[in-house]
Amino acid sequence: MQGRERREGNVKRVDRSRREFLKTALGGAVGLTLLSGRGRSFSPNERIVVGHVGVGGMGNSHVKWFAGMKDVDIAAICDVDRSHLADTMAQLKERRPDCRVKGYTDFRRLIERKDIDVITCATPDHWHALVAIHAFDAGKDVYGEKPLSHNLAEGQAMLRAMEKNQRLFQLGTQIHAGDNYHRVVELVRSGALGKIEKVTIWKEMGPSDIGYPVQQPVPAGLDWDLWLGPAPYTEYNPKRCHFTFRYFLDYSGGTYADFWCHIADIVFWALEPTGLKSVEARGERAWDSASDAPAWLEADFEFENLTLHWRPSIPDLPGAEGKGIGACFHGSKGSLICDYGSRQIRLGKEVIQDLPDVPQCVPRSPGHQRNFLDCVKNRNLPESHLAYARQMTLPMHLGLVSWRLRRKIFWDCHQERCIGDEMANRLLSRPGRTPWMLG
Amino acid sequence: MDARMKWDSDDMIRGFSQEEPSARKKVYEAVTGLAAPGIVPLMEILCSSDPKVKTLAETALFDLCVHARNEGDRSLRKVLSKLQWALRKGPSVESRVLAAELMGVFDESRKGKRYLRRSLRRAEREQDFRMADAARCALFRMGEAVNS
Repeated sequence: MQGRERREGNVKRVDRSRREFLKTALGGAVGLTLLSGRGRSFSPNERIVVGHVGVGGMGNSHVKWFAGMKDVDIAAICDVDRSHLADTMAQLKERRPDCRVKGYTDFRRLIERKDIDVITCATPDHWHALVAIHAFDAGKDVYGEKPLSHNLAEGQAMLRAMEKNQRLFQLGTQIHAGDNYHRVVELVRSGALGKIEKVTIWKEMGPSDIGYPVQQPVPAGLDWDLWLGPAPYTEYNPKRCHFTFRYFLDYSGGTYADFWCHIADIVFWALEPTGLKSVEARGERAWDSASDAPAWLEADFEFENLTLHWRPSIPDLPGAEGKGIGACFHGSKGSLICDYGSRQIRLGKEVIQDLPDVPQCVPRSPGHQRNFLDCVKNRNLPESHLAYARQMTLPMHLGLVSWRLRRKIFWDCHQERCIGDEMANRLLSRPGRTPWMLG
Repeated sequence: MDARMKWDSDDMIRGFSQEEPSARKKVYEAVTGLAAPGIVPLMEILCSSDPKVKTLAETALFDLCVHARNEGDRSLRKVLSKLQWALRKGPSVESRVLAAELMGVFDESRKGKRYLRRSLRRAEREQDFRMADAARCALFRMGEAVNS
């Protein structure tokens, strides 16, 4: 480990520049000992107390996964929709009758509980940052769903809050823990494909199918004002709410924002692209629905050492057929195409799945949630920690800004500002509705 | 569809409420190319009861500003002048709220700050929380933190 080590009380701290930190972070290195901060410290056999925020969709998977861990007690569940809350509480009672769990509709009441160590967050995207920041400030570690945040400035604020409170964060990119991604990283880093200067990633983007719904009275049991939170006020519309919220820019960024992390992850992990210089996106909104997020979007990202291309459909590349989502690493000696669970290497005319000569050198994950819980105990960096997740998510946000402004954006990666484009800079953040403004 | 032709709010409602998505798209593209003359009729139809019309009017206002900005400073200045009108005298809360948001993003010269401050004071006086929030957010975007 680089840097100068020093002792503060009974904790080990390493002095490093931010650049060095990110370098290590992007490498996915483990072993950095963090301060235990305001949270309690754990012995390996101690139990971790978890609270879940947002259980309408993916949050139910969080509850199921964490309830399956022997060293976890689930103490609280929160959702602004009482029907979601009741369903999940009932499911948990069946799965873990021993859990004494309390329900909340306001996440602030859950977070203020001193006995809770860890928060998981599976709210709609526009709440990710605020829930995490509240949790960090209360001394809790966070397992948060992707995308990291609604906009770029929120990601910056999350990192500041996490570092200030010396907490941990794991982004819920579960595929990161799978064996295929680990092997792809080893193969790409081995040099067998030659020099890689270009990567294409894609996700098929289809119609949102939400039509033009009319406004309706707020259903009983739903706190619509709290659901909106930092987003601009609007009358209740079922399509703006559960599940289909992601087709509205007030809350998310469409399929593009939804899937970016899953597939960009393998590129950022394997190649650690640095020095983003420009982003140029093209696309279109939907013409058959109320959605204002991109119905399709393609974008080109120019880094110092790489060009990255996002495409909204399966590209015309050998091996890409039938893969609704994927990545293609174009090397000077060959190429590698992968998706979540498969890969194909092309070296000349040879098409193979693996290169046995490339050693297995990336430590395998014990599982994405298990890795996070282990890190909560030993204070190592989780696999998809916040600094890494933020670097990976940042280009996605810039793609949306470029699409909205219909022009290329030039990026100063040191200042994290658009060069000579004040309007683009203003779209890096979204001031929150009172009282939900970022500090 | 000619961006130079004169459009009023009835024309836009008719265009945006067509059944065929591709026909709506053509109208939308023409309207977003109108620059300043498109602002007033778009503001007028923001409260339409037809969700198609309402949605397209909302997003067309943003895209009209983008289009004007990418055309040049002169075109954007005229748009901003109309947005200042909408901020003071827009026909509905929706129109005034959206004008505030657009000024927050597009007013590079920040001349609209005076209008936004005035709107914020009026909204607070009248306890119009939605408008007050929109003005506060717009001022925040322009680099001015305002306590709520």
